[in-house]
Amino acid sequence: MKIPKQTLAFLQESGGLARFAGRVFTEGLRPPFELSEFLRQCYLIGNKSLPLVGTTAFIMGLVLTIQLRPALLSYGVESELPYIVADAIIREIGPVITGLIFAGKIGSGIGAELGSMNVTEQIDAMEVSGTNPFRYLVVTRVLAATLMLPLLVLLSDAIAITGSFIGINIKGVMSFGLFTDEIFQFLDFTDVFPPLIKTFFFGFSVGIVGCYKGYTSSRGTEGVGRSANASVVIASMLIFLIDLIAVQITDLLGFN
Amino acid sequence: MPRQQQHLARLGFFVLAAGTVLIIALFLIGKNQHLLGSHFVLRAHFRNVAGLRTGNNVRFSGIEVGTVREMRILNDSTLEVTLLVKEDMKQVIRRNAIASLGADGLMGNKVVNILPQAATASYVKDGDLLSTRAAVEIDDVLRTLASTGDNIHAITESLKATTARINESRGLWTLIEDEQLAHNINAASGHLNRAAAEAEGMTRDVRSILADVRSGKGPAGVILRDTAMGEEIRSSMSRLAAVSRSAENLAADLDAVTKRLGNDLQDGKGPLNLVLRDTSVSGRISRSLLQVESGTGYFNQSMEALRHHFLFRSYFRRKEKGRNIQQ
Repeated sequence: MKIPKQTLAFLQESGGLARFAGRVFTEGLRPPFELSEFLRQCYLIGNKSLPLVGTTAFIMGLVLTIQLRPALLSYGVESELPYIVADAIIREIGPVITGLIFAGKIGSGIGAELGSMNVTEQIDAMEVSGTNPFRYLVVTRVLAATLMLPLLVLLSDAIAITGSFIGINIKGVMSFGLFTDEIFQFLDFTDVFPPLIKTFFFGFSVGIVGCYKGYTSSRGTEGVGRSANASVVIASMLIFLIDLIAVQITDLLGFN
Repeated sequence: MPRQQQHLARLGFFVLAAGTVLIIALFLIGKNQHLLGSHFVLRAHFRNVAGLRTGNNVRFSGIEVGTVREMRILNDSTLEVTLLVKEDMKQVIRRNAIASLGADGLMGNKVVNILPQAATASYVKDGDLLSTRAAVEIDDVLRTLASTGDNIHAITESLKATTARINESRGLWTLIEDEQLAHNINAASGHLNRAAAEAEGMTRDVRSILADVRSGKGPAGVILRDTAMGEEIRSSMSRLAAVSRSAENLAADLDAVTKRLGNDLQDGKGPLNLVLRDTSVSGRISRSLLQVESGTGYFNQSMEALRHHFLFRSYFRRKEKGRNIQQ
C-alpha cells in the first residue's frame, strides 16, 4: 500500500511531536530542575506578553459590548449586557483570543530562538559542555508557557470586563457596583473552571509546538523562518482543536 | 537590584495579580451561590415545583436570602424542597411564613418566595417545615387569557355590527346633523326652564295657601279648620235633611190630591166635572157668549154717537191733537 507523501509527512510530524511531548514529561519530572532558567522564561513569556494581551483584551471587551448592545436592546434585555459579555469573555473569547495572541508572540519566538540555536549549533555545543539542552531549553519553556497562559487569561478577562464596563458607559450609564452585581448574579463556577483548565492545554500546546519546530528545524536560515511560521500555524490550529474537545467534555460533564 | 532579581519581582507581581483576579472572582461567585458564610436549612413541601432547579434563588419579601439546595420526591404527590438560607434570617423569618414558587420575570428562572404573614409566631429553627402555597402556573394564566380573548372577540363582533347599523341608519344621522333640532332642543330647554320656574312659583303659592289654610285663614281655612263652623254646618245639614223630609211629605200629599181629582173627574162629581163633561152646560155658555157679543156691538154704536154729540166733541178733538204732537 502506497501512502501519499503529504499524508506520510503529516503522520511523521504528528508522531514526532507526540514523542517530543512524551520526552518533555520524562525529562521534566526528573531532577535536576533548571529553576532560574524556568523563572527567566516565565518572566519573558508571561510579563512581556501582558501589554499586548491586555490591549487586545481591552479592545475585545469594549467592541463586543458595543456590538452586542443593539441586538440586546431589540429584545429589551439591555440590562443583561454585562452578564452576556462577561460570560462570553470568560468562557470563550478570553481563552481563545489570548491563546492565539500568545501563539503568535510566544510560539513564533520560541520556534525562531531554538531554530537559530539549532542552526548555529549552539544546542550541540551545549550538549558537549555537559548541560542537558533538552532540559535547559525545552522543559523550562514548555512549563513556563503552560503556567503563564492561564495567568494571562485571568488578567485579560479582568481587563476585557473593564473594557466592557467602559463600553456600557459610553452608550448608557451603569454604576460599577451594579455592573459587577449583574455579572456575578448569574456567574457560576462551571463558567470559570472549564475555560481555565483548557488554557493550561493551550499554553502547553503553544510551548511544545514552538520547541519542537525549533528543536527539529532543518539547517540553514531558511529553516529558522519556516519553523517560526509553522509553530504559529500549528499552535493556533491546536488551540481550536483543544477548544473543540474541551467544549465536548464540559458538555458531557454537564457544565454548560 | 540586579537585573535578574528585578525580573523575578515583576514576575511575582504578575503571578500575584492573576491569582488575585481568580480569588476575587471565585469569592464573588461563591458569595452569590451561598457557599460561603453560615447558613441554616428550611424545608417546604410542594405538589409541583414547575421546573425549579438546585441553585435557584430563595427570596424573603423580594430580597435574596439563599438558594435551593436539594429537591426530593417524597411520594407521588409531594416534593420536598430544601432551602439553604442565611444564618441571620433566623431572626427575621417566622414559622408561619409561606413559601411559594415564583418566576424571575415572565420567562426567567424560578424562585422560591418566602412571604411573611400578619400574625405573629415564633422564629424558625434549623430544619423547620414551612407551609406552602400553590404556584400560579403560566399555563393557567394563558388559559384564562384565551377565554378572555374569545369573549373580547365576541364583544367586538357585536360592537362592529352595532356600529355598522348605526352608520347605516339615515334617520339617526339626519337627527345628528339637523342644526334646527339643536336650536329647538335649546329653545325647548329654555321653555322647560321657565315652566319649571313657574311651577316653582306655583308650588310656593300653594304652600303659602296651605299654610294659610292650616292657620285657619280664608273661607277654606274656616271650613277646614273652624270647629264652630263645622258644628253649624252639621246642624244646617240636619235641618236640610228635615226640610227635605217634609218636602217629601208634601209631594206625597199633592200626589194624593191629584189622584182624588182624577177620580172625581172620572166619576163625574164636583163643578169642574160639570164644566168639562156636561154638554148642556157648554151650549148654555156659548149662547151667553153670543149675547155678550151682540151687547158689546150695541155699546160701540152708542159710544160712536156719543163722540159726535156736541157736548163731548171738543174732548175727542183735543185727544186727537195731543196724539199727533207726540208722533
